[in-house]
Amino acid sequence: MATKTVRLTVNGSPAVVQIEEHQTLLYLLREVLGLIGTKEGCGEGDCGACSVLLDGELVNSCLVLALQADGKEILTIEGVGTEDHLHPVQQAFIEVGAIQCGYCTPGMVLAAKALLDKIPDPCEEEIRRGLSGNLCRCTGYQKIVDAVKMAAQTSK
Amino acid sequence: MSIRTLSPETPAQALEILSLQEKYLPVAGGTNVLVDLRKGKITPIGFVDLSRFEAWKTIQLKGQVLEIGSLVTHSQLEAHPLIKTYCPALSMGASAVGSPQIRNRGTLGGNLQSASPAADCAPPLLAHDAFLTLLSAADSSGTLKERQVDLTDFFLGVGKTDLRPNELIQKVSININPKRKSIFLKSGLRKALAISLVNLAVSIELDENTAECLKARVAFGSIAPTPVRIRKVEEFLEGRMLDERVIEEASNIVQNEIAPISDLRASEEYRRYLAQVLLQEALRTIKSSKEAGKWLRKQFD
Repeated sequence: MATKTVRLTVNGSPAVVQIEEHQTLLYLLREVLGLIGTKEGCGEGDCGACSVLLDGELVNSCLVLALQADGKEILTIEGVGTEDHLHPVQQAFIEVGAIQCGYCTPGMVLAAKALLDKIPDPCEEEIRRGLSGNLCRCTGYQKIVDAVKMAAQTSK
Repeated sequence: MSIRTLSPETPAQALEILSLQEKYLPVAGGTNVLVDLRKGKITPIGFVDLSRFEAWKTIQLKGQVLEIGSLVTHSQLEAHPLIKTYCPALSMGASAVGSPQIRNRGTLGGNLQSASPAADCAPPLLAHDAFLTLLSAADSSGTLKERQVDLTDFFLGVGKTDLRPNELIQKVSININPKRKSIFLKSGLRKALAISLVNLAVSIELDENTAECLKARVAFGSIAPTPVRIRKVEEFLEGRMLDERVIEEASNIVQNEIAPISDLRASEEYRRYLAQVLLQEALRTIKSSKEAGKWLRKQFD
């Protein structure tokens, strides 16, 4: 097996991992580091369940080679807020009821965070566009959009 | 599965590897390559990661030539002031690709190299007479071999291009013309992550006083095995005023020039209908708009 060393920062902490050269960032996060908050849905970039931030940019971790993350900073759902201090997006998801089965939620929260980092006060169209790479089969999206609106308000 | 991944620091090193190793594939954003790998459509023995070539990630104006590095992402294309000013259709086309995640990773070079008939960056670049600079490994003198190809000659078929396995797209260039207005329109099944049923880019240079069409480019995607310019329509438009009768006639001419197929997304008849209405919409918008980039958000209405 051809393996290489990847040095990266995950949720603020440095990590050094040995990984097969064709593996994805998603595999690195879940199977090597055990950060299973990031989900695999389709594995093809359609569903967004594997979304993480790579140097602040929203990406599908299933479509990033682990080696391409060498030297980069990754933020996963485990690094967003803490149990005592939830991120405003997380708090809003709970208050609005934007979570049903929960499988899409980590990706949705990261997509919402990436959006609000760029556009702090988005209109509905911008929210829907910002979340357009994330599928949810339960909620019908309305409550998720409402939650992002609420998070934008509370973050002011 | 054991696939090597090499991460060269320079294009010269990458081209050297590709010239020696036939079954190594270049990978940049990975949004096509890793999907194809997972589906078993490609069986490389190795990848050559291009993602560290910073010089290929820039957009710059050199004299009258707009140079776009092949590793520029769709998100960059969407937002960059030079693209919005001199090639607005490309900004619109890039913004219609995939999803935020895909646009943040997927590159212009990848969009062109994959040669999808529906690639959303292709019609805008065809409508702006873009040409590509392709590089291959250095000869004995040590300089990289370079050749230029017009984008019209680049696409050879579904998934097929003029790019050789030992070559990489370095940049895409456009001779700028501030008088040229352009627009991109797309019809997909959804607003995001939708492969175009039909997409269209039109660029027009209008006489400022008479509103006569001096130069026209009309390029469609998803109506043939490759993105194509419709020269009969361009010739018809040039020298004419963009009035309703001309717009109507132009969209009739299109019908004789395209050969769309029926597939699971749309029937041939529906694609023909879309080609007609998209062209009319594009020409009307260009006619009524004073500024080139003004209708940028139109496609999200």
